[in-house]
Amino acid sequence: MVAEYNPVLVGLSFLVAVLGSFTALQLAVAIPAARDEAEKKKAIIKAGAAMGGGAIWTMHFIAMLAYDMGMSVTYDVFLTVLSAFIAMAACSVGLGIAGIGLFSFDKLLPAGIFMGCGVAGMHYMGMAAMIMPMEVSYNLNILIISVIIGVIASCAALWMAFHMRGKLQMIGSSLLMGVAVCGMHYTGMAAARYEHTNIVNEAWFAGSLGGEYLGISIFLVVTTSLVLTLAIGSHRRRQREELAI
Amino acid sequence: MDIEVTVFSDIKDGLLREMGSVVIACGFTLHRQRMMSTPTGVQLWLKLSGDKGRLLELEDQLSSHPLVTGFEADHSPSVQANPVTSPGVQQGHSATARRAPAATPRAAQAAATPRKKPAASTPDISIVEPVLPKLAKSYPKIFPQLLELQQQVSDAQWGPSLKFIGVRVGAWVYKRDYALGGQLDLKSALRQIAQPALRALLPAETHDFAVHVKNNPFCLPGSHCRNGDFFCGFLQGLLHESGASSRVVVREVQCRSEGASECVFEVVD
Repeated sequence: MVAEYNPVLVGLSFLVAVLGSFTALQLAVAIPAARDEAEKKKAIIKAGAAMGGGAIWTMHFIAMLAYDMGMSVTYDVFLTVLSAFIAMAACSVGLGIAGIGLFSFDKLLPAGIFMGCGVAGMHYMGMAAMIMPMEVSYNLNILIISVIIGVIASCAALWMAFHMRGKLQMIGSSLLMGVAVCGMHYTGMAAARYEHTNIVNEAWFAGSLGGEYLGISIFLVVTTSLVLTLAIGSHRRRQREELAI
Repeated sequence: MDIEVTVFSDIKDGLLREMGSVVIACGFTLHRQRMMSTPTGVQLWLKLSGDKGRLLELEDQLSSHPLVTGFEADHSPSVQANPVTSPGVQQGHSATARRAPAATPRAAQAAATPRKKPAASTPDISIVEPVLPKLAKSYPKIFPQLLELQQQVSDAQWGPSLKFIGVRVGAWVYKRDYALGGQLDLKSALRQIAQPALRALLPAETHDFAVHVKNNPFCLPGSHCRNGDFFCGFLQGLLHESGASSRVVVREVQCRSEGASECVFEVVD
């Protein structure tokens, strides 16, 4: 099979990953400042949802739209939704580990593993959700490398987000997390081998998610991310101005 | 060891709870307490016992607490505890004894030996408090205002007032610019929070637990004044607020007014 990427959509997928990561990490860095357990839980879930849904899930499906396989592809709704939940849950755990208590290198690896595995879990579940007359198999070595890229880049992003302060913290960590998500995804795509089965079962497409619905879902998530980013920025600016000495 | 301390405050509500938290955090035990009203506020007497090695930390924490306007300590308490307001003690004026941070471990040891502390000065809250919002407005260009303030504050109160301002400004800067992020250990907090915060004010470097400040505007070479109180307070305010350690004590170990090339502050946990 000859497939090719649309470079504009590839660039857009990276942008969305960075934007989603920025929103999520800005929510995550507020976890240590939470006043009680309930506030802490809320902050973790919000950050995990923004990372899993906003950065990882959206990036994955924009990248899948960028990947032209010369045939129509639809997605199993249940597996597609499940893939988003996997990403959100794993990212919540990872951000929770990094955000609670004293931040140290001991926490970085488990937190990074959860985040990296969240990215990888979402990706491979998202791939499994694809409905098309082809079978997908994976090169195990490249698959492992893709997971390692996700874990290492997530560790670096978390270190920057939780250990550092200032602009480097805000921008650097988002860029690194964008690299983690995209690096894992595109390496994972390189691990995939497709074989035509020439079998098209109409029953597959019942209750599946077509390209247009996927586009609308992505649009909604990206818009929400953007609005959230602007709202967080404006809220924090106001807080800074009102803070009494 | 046993110790009796008396703190003076404008505010009665929550004072005992706050002081109790500090006492517990420093590993001391509270045996007795008595609160009395004074014409200008309240006076809280506490009888404590605890580890002699942490006495310096306890005294520093109590005396620099935002609620405390005056502080006295008696390291050789009488068997019959008897809290008495010192005749010269007036809230917000020349009320208190604040331990000057010891420069060396030996000095710290000596300072920890039981003795009745002489009355020393407290911050001049009535002058300092109205200046704080102005400092916030002009931050980070605050040194001209601080130097101007020196004319209004008596010499005895200048050091404690500077430290008080430093603590408040440090805590405010932390909340404003550095609160978002992971909770760091002391060494990382020094590098990631204290160093950039200080650099917004003037050139500074950190080496492990030492902070090197160049061109301290309060200490002119040859003046032998050792005026690092603002930076001690500033670092303490930042580091306390960051949660790096609630027991952190900052002291000036080298001063350019005494011939050193720069002022050096030691951060001790």
